[in-house]
Amino acid sequence: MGTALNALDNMVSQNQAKGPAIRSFMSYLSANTTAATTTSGYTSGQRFPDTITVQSVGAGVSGGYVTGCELWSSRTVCCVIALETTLGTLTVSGNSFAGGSAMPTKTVAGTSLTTATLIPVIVVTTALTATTPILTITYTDQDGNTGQTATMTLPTNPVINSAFLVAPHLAAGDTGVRAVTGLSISTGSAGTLRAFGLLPIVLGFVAANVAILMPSPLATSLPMFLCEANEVIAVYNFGTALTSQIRADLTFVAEN
Amino acid sequence: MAITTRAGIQQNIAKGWGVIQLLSGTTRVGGTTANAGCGFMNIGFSWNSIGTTLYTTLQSFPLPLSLPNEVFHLWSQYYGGLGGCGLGYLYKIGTVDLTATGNQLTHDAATFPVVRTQLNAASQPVGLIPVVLITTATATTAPVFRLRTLAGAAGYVDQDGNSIVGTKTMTMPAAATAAGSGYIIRLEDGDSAVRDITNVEVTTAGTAGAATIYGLEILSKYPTNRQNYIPATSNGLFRGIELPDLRPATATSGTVTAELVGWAQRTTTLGGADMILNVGVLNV
Repeated sequence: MGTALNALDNMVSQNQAKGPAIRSFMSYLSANTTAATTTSGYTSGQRFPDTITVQSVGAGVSGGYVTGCELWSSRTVCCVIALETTLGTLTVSGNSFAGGSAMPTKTVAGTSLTTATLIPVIVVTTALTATTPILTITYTDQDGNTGQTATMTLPTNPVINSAFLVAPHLAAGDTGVRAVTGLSISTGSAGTLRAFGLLPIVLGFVAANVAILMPSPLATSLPMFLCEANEVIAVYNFGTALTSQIRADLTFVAEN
Repeated sequence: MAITTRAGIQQNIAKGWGVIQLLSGTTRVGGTTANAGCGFMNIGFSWNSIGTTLYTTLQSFPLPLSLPNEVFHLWSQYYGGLGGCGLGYLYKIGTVDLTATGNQLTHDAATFPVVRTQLNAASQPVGLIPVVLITTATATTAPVFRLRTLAGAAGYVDQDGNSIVGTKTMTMPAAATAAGSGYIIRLEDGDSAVRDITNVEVTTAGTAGAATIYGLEILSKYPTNRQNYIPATSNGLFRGIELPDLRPATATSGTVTAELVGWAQRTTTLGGADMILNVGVLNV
């Protein structure tokens, strides 16, 4: 494990021996999303409805690392392309919670570890009918402490694809989330919220209508997360609640 | 256990021991261009765009509550102004009434200097860049102030802890200097920073105008070099170790008002780092 990223030469040899995968992505939001407030994330966010499912891999390959990304956006935004874990779902009618998955185990820099997301988000997957609802999130924190709670007051009637950052509202001393064990809402008659945990594989700015090459992950101090077959990659914008388009090309290099 | 390796940094972030801030700053405002009378150097700031009403309610960029350990700044991307932009802390020193002459600084209740552990020495004073931010536009006459009292007593404590009587004046660049205009305050020759500003004498007043005096601590910087705004990356680890703590410094006593902001230095117009993507790692 870890061979593709141990050295630049390894990446080159893996690339030529096993073949890269290039996945192109395009999505758009044709309607504005709902802006955040100081009680719902501080920065407006939106999730593109289209996702990438990591493809199957050949013998002797465990997955791929994203080693390059070119990106274009119609807006000036902070863009996050991430492995996405569904942590839980709340159906507002009936205040009904359905559990999801815990954050996955990943090998990072040669060590297998239990991940916790630094970017937990609440996404509106069906528009809410709810007036300034108070959302309570019960979660397991980055250290494994269970029963932690975060409280957010969402805007009234947030629309589909709106995303709200949870991190600023975590309990004192907490920075990450391993799992969500409960979601409940104070009021509302319709809609669905989903809690996602993001492990970023591309982080960066894109200026409106300027295509950019994202900083090489090999030259950052961010963790590289192996993308494994059937995992979901989702794309988020932060810093806008306006209609948006995005185009990305991701290059994967095989990992043994 | 403290972080000692790149792998440790990556693993800590993967474990959820860190911060990834996705920040959107306040919209730029057209300030008044600096000139010789106020030291030539504009400086602009961006607060969190949501929750800020310029210049009465200023929302700091949010961090998780009560971070338990040092959070080393690792990596940022900025969308900011020409001449250098980045992330920093504004420590509020006080406010100044520019409509009356005489001693006009109302000092914040916190006791300066702000302190951090530096080079294994605890509670070391932090040298701050002195900044005046016009919060209410001036009118009729360009206000003038200097860092001293009317009676000639000291107006600031310099980077070495010396109390200094300021002789250099700061003349606002226009009778109508716009709200949001920021300038780096002129210090006496040989001084590069302040630990505190203790007095401000307004020698010429306008019929309107108010300002806030801040000390700016730079956390990260990227030297943008194009007129147009472009995304710029500051990689603390890979361009020479540059890993300041993302938590604010603390006051000598009391609680200092510390605002995590984007900043941009320019000589022509105002700016700030409008959008910031910031990553830090807990030192555990």
